[in-house]
Amino acid sequence: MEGRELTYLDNAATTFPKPRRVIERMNDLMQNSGGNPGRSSHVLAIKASETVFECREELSDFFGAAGPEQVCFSLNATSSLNFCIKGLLHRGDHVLISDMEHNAVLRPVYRLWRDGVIDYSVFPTFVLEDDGRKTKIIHGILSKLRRNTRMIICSGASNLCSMTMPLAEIGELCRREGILFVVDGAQCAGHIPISLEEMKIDALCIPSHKGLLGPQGCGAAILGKGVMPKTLIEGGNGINSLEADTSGELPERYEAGTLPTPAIAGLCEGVRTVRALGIERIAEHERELFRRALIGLSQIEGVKVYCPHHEGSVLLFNKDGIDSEELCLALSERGICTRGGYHCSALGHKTLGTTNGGALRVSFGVYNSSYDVDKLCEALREI
Amino acid sequence: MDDLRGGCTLELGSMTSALKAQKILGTAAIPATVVKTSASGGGRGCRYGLRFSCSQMANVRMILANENIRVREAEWKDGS
Repeated sequence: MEGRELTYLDNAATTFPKPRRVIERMNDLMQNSGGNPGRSSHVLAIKASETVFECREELSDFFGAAGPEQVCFSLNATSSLNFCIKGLLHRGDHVLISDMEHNAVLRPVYRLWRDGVIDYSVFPTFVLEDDGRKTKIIHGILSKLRRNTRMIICSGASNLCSMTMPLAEIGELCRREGILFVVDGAQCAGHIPISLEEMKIDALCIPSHKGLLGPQGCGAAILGKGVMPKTLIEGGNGINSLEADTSGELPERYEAGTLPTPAIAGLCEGVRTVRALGIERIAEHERELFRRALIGLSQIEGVKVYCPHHEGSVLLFNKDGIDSEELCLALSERGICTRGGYHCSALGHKTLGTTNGGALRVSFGVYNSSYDVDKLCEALREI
Repeated sequence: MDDLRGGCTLELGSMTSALKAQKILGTAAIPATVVKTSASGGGRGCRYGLRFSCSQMANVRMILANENIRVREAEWKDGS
């Protein structure tokens, strides 16, 4: 079965299909201007540098950063998070992470803890509750602050359900307390409006290939003004080449090695697509699909939906008597792409009480329709 | 393409700075070209800079200072 004949409901893993303009831009770049950015002054190298700069400007503007130089490209959100966590924390620091964090946050933090570099605590998101979450979250954070708390890290939106976090309130708290605020933007970038300036975010870590509709193989850490992590990757960056030290200004000092220019060009077009469609319109479309799915699933015996009060692009459920991976396989045999298991989120599944077998996740994207939801429900009735 | 041979060059900290400065100067109707300046930089190796008409040197310095774009000290006339 070809991709276009499938019902693709795994957009939280990676969005599919990609906008035509993303594909065309990447195709054009690879066919007509394949220079290496920041390495020479010949016409193709300069054109590649301009392509990269164009995307820095687009991302800076879209996410309310101080300027294009604050956008540091990486492989994906995970590499950006590793860069910010390991590059900004020092021996003796304490870190707070939420109880819904992806392993992209938990594992680098755990590694630093295991190596005796830092200590960390987990604060509650009250994901299972409906009312008063903002206040409870802030109180939960305040109760866990220590004198040496240097950083708070949380996802803007969960990858298990459609829960979002009160980023502006947490950012305000961080600024007041002199704590760095790092946001995992893997599931919120392109789904909800985010502004580094307005939300007082010190580092936003994003992938290209999810809600921003770009290709895989590219991401970014967008840094607040004055935030300067240590370098994690050393090597050639086209600056001060006779020196052994990886030097240079932001962002190049963090971008040793050749950048994935075609992927960056694709990301730029992905962001432009999101802007053209309108982020609020996209979010409302996803909420409509969520509500339709919720109604459909409620009519199927034995289906338990987790956190139905958080409406958005991600819906998590189980069906009595069927392992989530088996259910995923059965849906795949009917041409429906979803994801079972644990979704790289040990903390999240523990919080939701789904560590025994995980759950099935369907995640909607901008190109899904009500037809896809109906097909899912029809298949679930059969299984 | 602007012919800026014989122009002046200011060295900037990175390719990103150079492109940002080029864009800002463009909005002030000052054409500038991004150039690689490996021969300068006090023997430290590759750098990037902007080449523009020498008559605009004072304007360029003022505009870039207003935008907080750091200019390195190297400044020379092409061919000098």
